Amino acid sequence: MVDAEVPHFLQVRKAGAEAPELYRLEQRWEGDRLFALSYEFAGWYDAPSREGQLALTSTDGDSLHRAVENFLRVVTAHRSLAEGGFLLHGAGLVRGGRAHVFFGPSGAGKTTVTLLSDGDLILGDDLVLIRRGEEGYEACAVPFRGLYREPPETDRAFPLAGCYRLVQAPTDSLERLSPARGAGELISSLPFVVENPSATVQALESVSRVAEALPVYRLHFRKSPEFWDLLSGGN
Amino acid sequence: MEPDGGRPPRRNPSAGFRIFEGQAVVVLPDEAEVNVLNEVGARVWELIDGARSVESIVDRICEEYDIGREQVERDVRELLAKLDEHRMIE
Repeated sequence: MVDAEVPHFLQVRKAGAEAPELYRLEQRWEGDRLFALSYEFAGWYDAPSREGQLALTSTDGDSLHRAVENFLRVVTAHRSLAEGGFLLHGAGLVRGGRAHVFFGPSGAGKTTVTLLSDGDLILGDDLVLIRRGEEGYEACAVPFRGLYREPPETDRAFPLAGCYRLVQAPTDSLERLSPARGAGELISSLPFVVENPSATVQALESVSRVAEALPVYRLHFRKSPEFWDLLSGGN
Repeated sequence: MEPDGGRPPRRNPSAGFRIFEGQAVVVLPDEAEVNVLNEVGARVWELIDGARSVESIVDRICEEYDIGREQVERDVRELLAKLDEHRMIE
């Protein structure tokens, strides 16, 4: 890590009277090297050597923490694809020794699901890593927790039982998706990589393999822990 | 529709796609957009190669599915209009 000695790498865009952008990150691959930059950082990561460099506009405090985590999130998202897995915007919960991953955009109910699952092991409420294990796909926590979240409760990986696209609804129901629809829902919840043409093919391959190997559902749920009754008898 | 005054439709070259069990998942990185096409939609997507005319695509769908030509033509043109609207073809 180096001190960039500049105030910012990107400036917040503000067009006329519109609200400023929420967050912007630019990334590109040049050969085996991934470049990423945002307001507070600019960095590169070399895939074969697994080395990289990160320049930061601030070398202490929240800004440093946020910039380092965001850069590592991007690198992890791309690296997991290269290994046949993917980083998913999802909440991971372990019940009966198996991981259930609930995914969807902000506001879909990821954190709510973790709050309604008292006693279950929480892999995360925002990002979960799906990867190929020796005996099939598995889910594990990632060490990204933002500024105010608790760290993951475990660094173990657990066999993946199923993936559930969260949809808030007045009643609970479970709709099994075709592999194509499942893959479409999963790839829509992959951070960072879908915007990048060179990563899209790899991302499609990874999510398609999971959608073919495991059930992917749309889980229509109300804010009640009873949705667990629909999931393989709650196990 | 037949983009650009009758030129055969062509897939957006940046689109990534995969077809399985008859359905297609199409990802447009530039738009960060994902679309899933049903069985006939996926077949039309496969047939769009930048060389086949809309008429030729309609002919193939009529051959492969037991649907009347009038309906196929209407459905294919509607689908192409949607694909064009979503920048999936050009």
